[in-house]
Amino acid sequence: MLFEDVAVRYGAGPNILQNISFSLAPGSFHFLVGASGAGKSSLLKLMYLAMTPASGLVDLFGRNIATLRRQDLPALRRRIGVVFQDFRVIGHLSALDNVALPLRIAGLRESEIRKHVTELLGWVGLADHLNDLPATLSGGQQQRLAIARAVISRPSLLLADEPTGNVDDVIGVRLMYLFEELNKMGTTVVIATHNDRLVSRFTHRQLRIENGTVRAFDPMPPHSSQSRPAIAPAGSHAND
Amino acid sequence: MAWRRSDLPLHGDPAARFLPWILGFLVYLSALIVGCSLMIDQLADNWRTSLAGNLTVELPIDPALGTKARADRLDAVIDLITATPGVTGATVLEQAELERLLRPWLGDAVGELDVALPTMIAVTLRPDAVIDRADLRNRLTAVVPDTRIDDHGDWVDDALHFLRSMQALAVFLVALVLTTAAATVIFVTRTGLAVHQPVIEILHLVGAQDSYIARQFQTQSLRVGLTGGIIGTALAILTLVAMKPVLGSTTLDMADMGDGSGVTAGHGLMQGLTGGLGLTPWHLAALCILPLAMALLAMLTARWTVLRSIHRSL
Ligand SMILES: Nc1ncnc2c1ncn2[C@@H]1O[C@H](COP(=O)(O)OP(=O)(O)OP(=O)(O)O)[C@@H](O)[C@H]1O
Ligand SMILES: [Mg+2]
Repeated sequence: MLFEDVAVRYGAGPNILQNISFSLAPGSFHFLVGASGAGKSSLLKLMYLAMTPASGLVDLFGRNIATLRRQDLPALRRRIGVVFQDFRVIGHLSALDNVALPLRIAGLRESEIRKHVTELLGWVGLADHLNDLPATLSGGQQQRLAIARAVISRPSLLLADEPTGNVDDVIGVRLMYLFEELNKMGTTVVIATHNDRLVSRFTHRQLRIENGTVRAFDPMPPHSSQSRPAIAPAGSHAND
Repeated sequence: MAWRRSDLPLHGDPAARFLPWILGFLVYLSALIVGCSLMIDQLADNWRTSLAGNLTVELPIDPALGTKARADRLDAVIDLITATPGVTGATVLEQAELERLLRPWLGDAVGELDVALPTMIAVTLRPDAVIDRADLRNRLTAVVPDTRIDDHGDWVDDALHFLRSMQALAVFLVALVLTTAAATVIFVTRTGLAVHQPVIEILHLVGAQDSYIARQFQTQSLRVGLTGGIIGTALAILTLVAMKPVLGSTTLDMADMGDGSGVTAGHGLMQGLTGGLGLTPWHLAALCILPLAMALLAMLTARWTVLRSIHRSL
């Protein structure tokens, strides 16, 4: 993923973010941090193709997102898992059906779907709630449901907006392990959060939103990091 | 699977809940119109075939002739007619019979009528007989000048033309009803798109194609169209069956009045004009296409509406 001098704004409003240039290597793991209202969710929207940049270039899976045609979007979006800040689970579908949704849309067989979904829901601690409607779940349980839906199809890119905002630290850390597990299998992960404790507990690289722009940041460079930049300069991963 | 669960709870929409009833009613109307049109078709056939087997020969009044001469003249004419190939019978209508047929027009005064009535001969033909009308007239006028032959041709043409106009009207009405059905489906689908916009957005964001979302709507519309269609058609068939006696008597009147002189071969003809009018199994089968047609129309309309509207969303 590559951002080059990108600016973000809503409609005719002022730029929320500008001069954004960075690139994410495939298989990298980043926290996206910044004050509330800084623009974390907005930046993620660009990444999950719900928004186009006001100016500049956003390149995703080697495609300039400004020039994508409508019929190209579904295939790209199936490679992206998103945990929305407001969950966006579907109210009239059971936990199982919610998580199964991306697989059904992708056209998998029902028997396979059931097996995968049941297993994953067990992993996020919802084994006893397979047939429950989201409204009967707690906030934290809904969040885990949203996470399960985002990771079920093993996306190439996982974008999570405050995925641990409604759970205690024990579950929060467990969910982080889930993300790391996925990351080890090659998924590029970006997690927006302002949970400093969580961020400091892991040594992942950071994208920091400050003063209306985004800076890449390596919090505690490992011993070898002097010879290996934590985050590659823009342009070096044009084919991510 | 699509029948088992759907990602959008479309059946619960307030606008959609009335859709089966509206479509059912519209199918009911179409089925009635189509049913009547099929019966008109049958009626036209009946008229054509029964009247094709009949001729009326009318001998003018000749006050100069005595009773004996009149009887001889009649015998000569009857002989001539029955000798014509294709003719199976010729019956002279008695004065009493004529009076009976004229009574609806003239009232009871017909009995006191003192005028001489023309002699009418009802000629029955083999169903497949082709009579050379001009030749028959020539031969008849040679015996009795001014003899008239009425094969009801003009009247049948007029009547058939009338029936055809009725059928054209029926086609127009069905087209109107189907347009209304399509417009209703468009309205309900648009409402559904608006109501479920948040869920549709989620479906898009997890990678659903437009056609996947359209499928949710078209499956629902197909189901509703089929349900409404079956109920509407069933009720229409019941109505048509219940209407049969009414229809029968109406057409009897029409046949009676339409037959100008009111003087023809009598009961046999009337029976032929209206007998057996009603829905045949073949007609019922044709009517059963309606629910399928409505389901298909609803489905395609919903799909078209979704694909057209959804372009504006993300
Ligand atoms: N749909 C929108 N239309 C107009 N402005 C918006 C919209 N969404 C967000 N904004 C504005 O963009 C700015 C950044 O919002 P954003 O949601 O990206 O912040 P955030 O970093 O995710 O905040 P938080 O940590 O509270 O979730 C805010 O000033 C907000 O008012
Ligand atoms: Mg946010």
